[in-house]
Amino acid sequence: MTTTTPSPADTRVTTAVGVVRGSAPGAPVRVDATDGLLAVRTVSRSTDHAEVALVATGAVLLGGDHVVVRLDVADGCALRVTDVGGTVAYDGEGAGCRWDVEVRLGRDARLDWYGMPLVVSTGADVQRTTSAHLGPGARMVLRETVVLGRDGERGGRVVLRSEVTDDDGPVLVEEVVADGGRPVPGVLGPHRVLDTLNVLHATGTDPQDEAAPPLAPEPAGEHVATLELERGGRLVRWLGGAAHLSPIERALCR
Amino acid sequence: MNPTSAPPARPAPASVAMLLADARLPGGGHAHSASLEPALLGGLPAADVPAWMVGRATTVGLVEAGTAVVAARVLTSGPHGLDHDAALSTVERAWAARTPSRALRDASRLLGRGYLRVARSLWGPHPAVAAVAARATRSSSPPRAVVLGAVAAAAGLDAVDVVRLTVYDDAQTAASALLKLEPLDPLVPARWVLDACAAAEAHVGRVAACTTPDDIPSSGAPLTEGWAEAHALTNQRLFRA
Repeated sequence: MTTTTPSPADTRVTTAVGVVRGSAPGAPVRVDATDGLLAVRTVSRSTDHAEVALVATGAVLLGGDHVVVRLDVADGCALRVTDVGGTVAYDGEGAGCRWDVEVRLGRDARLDWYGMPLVVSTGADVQRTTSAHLGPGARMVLRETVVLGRDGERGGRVVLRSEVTDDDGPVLVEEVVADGGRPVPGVLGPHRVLDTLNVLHATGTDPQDEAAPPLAPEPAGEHVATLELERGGRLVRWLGGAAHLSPIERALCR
Repeated sequence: MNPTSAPPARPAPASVAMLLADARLPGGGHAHSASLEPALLGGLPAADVPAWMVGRATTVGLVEAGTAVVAARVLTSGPHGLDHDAALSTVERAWAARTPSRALRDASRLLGRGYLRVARSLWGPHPAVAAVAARATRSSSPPRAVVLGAVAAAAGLDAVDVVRLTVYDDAQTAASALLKLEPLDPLVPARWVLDACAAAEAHVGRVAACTTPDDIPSSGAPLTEGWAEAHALTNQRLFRA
């Protein structure tokens, strides 16, 4: 239920990364990549793990852009995604833009993506959607940072939608609407930065497994909220004035 | 006509809505501030309370309203019994996935418990209320929105009135809590209640039209959710949430 002007369907440009087991025993995983507005660079591979970097091939996000990033990680495989830089959504002069991430994790698969900030310039109208389905035992660590405005700007409008499911149903369904020109107390209030670390898992994983290393660092500090979902993990969230001040940033850089 | 054989007169749905919205009904709502105390402790300036109330009425309030609407709808359609239980479980799961703060889920289930007491004593034999009551345990209850859905199904409340009732009750709960937290003319927040209800009006139609759990709005309020978590850990508080 969003009110952002949808961009025409024909502007969808999909970047896809698929990770599957290698065909021979001991072979590295196969990475099937399709470049879109973002290009895929494979950084490393092992028998069950791949790391890729996403590189913008031109200026994104402009009005009318529709970036789709599809990540598909097969059973038992792990993918780490790194952004080469943050993303700026520019003033679309009335045209909205979209950034859709579609994730499918197989049984016991894993995705780690510590994304760089999305900066929403004044005049931009962004719809950013993350939808993910977690297979049994799958885990996903996703950092999403949104900044309203470049330096000295109040920032544009953004609709952030997350929809994460597993085989038992919804784990997290959330829509946050923010507009730098019309701050709403209780939503983002006076803050320009919403920084969220999603640490999620499907039914069939044991989050209490003492032997398992923690999925993600534990940031602590003023205004850091840990939201324990009813099932499937937690969100660690910070709201503040500048992305580099985030305790999540500090915890990840330790 | 033999008075003993006449069917009992039924109250109009509007009368039921008034009863449910009345703070004099002992439903347990007086212990809650609709997130206002956590907000003020968290740093919300008192001057921002009216805008914050409008924000609630157009975000988290609609999640509650949509949950109640869909709960009522699944309880008034289809066969009863086990199917209703499975359907309610899906509704409750959809609500929980849209309510990331544990403090707010706990508060809503506590309110659900008080509401369930009201529902059982007033509409106990109705299958909708029985279906929701069957999901309550000694330690937990369905959330308030789901119990409200059962009452709506039992009393014949229209979906649009369920949405308005939810928004009004939330706003009035915050307004009356404000008078205990910040001294001011009691008529001032009454205006803010109407302003919050007016802001929600643009959404009433689409929320009332929700039919499946997937349709329930998911509009969040990250600051309010963070404040709720911090408030749950403090003992310097007048209200439960």
